[in-house]
Amino acid sequence: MRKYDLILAGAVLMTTGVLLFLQKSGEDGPAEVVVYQGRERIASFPLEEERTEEFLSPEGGRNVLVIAEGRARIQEADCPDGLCIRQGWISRDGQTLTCLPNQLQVIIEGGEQQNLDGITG
Amino acid sequence: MTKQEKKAARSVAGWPAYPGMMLAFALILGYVETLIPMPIGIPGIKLGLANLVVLLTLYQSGVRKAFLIDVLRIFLSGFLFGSLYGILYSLAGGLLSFLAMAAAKKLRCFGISGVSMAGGVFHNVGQIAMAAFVVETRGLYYYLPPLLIAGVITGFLNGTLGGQILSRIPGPYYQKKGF
Repeated sequence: MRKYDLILAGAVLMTTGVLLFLQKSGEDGPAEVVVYQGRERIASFPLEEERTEEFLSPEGGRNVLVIAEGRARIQEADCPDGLCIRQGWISRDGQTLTCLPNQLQVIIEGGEQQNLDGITG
Repeated sequence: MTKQEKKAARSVAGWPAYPGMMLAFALILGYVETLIPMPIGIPGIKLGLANLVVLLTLYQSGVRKAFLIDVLRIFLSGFLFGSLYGILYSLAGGLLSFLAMAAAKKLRCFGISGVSMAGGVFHNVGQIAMAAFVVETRGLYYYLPPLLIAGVITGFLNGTLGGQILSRIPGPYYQKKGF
């Protein structure tokens, strides 16, 4: 172990510290419900405000998004399988609701992180 | 190296035999590594024992042979045990890690631990970069801190091990300390 080896290890650890700090400070923003149509971001709403919004896809598909009590779900949709409705409520950072037939995706961005039990590699 | 060994290394059969042996060594260590359970629940953290062989070759035989072994082991273990995507990830990690190690060694101010740590850290950086390129998810950014720390730790372990090995086998570092 030479002096510069220690300096290198220290530099990487410091970089890690800075990254962690940046991540922590970035998390504190209020949670938003973001709606994508295809790849395009078409709307975003704060998760705290209760509201009901209707989205029409270019092909005429219809989804009704409900935000209530700090969580969001698709209440109504005219897609054949209704999978987006059955995905239920989402409230944590990174969770999504997806309606493939209408190419609609609802994502929670920011706010409380997901609590994972574990990940298998 | 004894006279006989030098002669063997120069001979027609000796040249391909040595990298071939190291390549086999790297493949075996890559397999052995999968048998060691990692106590941390984060995917992508491993000891990188195969990289130990690349490190040893870098010090014993120079940049060219080490590069040859690095690239060959990635493709061989990819085709043997992994998938095409696996090769993509391994290449990103392996090549970046190799560049970092070769550069760190060239600088001459780092010891073998430092060279190995640079390799470990940049291996993980390369894999994250490739993953970010493939899946385009910002969540990967959160993997970086634990993987950076893991790179330092595994790099240090491999470097220490490599130093001990090099001082015990015939070669330019035989019975040397603190390089």
